[in-house]
Amino acid sequence: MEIILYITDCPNRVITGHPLALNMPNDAERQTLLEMLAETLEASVIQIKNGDHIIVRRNG
Amino acid sequence: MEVISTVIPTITLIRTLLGILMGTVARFVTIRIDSRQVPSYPIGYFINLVTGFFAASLGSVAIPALLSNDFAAVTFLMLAVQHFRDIRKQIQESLENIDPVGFAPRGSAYIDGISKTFEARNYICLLTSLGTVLVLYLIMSESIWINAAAALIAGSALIWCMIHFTKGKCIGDICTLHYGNIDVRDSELYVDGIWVTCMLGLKKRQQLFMEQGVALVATPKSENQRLTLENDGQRAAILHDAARSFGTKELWFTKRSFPDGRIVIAFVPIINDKEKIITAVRNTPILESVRKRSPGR
Repeated sequence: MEIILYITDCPNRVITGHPLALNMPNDAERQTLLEMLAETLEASVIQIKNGDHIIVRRNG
Repeated sequence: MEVISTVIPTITLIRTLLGILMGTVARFVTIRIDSRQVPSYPIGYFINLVTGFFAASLGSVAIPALLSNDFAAVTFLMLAVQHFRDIRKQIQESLENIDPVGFAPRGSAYIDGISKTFEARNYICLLTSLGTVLVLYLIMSESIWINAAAALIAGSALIWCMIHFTKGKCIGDICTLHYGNIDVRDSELYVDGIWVTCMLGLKKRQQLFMEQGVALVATPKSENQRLTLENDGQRAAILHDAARSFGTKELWFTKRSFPDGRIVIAFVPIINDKEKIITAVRNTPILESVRKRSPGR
């Protein structure tokens, strides 16, 4: 399982490094991006309890 | 000057041919073309029939060769064994190569089981023809019809015994299956109260799973069978058989419930035929590598 992207609405949780972390407070904009990336990368989206999203992809 | 006859006596030829025929029949009856699509049809099917024919040929010439003091026949049998091992490796490599491109991976345990089965079926061919020819030589009848009848009886008995001996159990034998109640809470999926995944973060996918998803719950019949059912390789095999037959729309999960040993197989099928899906899962073979016998044995 590979973490591709972390998306949050809190700028304090954005730390540089791998994987890429984005601050996207706009929910509609975030849903559009998540859908597009999930479809394109054939990945799954996890929403954790604090509302942040993680895009993950199964290896193999 | 002594002339050495190189012409094979007719009765020897008939016995050998009857052995080859019964050996090839053994391969024919052990090839199953079903939803698992291993071997594939028609090319894979043809390849297996041909290798079965050659295995049967090697088995049936061994007895006449030994009787004519040609001990090289034993070497040929050893070569056949080596060849069957190569077939196993070849099938293993081929299935591993195509594994990532399927709906859900078979997993190494299932691939190992399939390749061993293919090897074993070649041995069935070889032993059927060898046994049939041996019986014909023990009877020592010159009549073609008596030879044919004896070959049919001995060959059929050998095929039945070996199929019976190598036959494994199915998932339906060790657990009960039913469709569980799907519950999507935010991005989390629960089936009959068992947490399965939190990968439903997209509303579109939550809706897809709610509308079209199926979730099977397998409950082991005894504590001992939990060891088989909860094995990763076995769960991958179940999911693969269901997904291979009915397709998946990206989402497929398996999860085990630690307190009671139930397992969940959840996915969104392309062909949503619940009756057939449960039958496919029930008929998934129990993998030899994960099979657990009684403790202490």
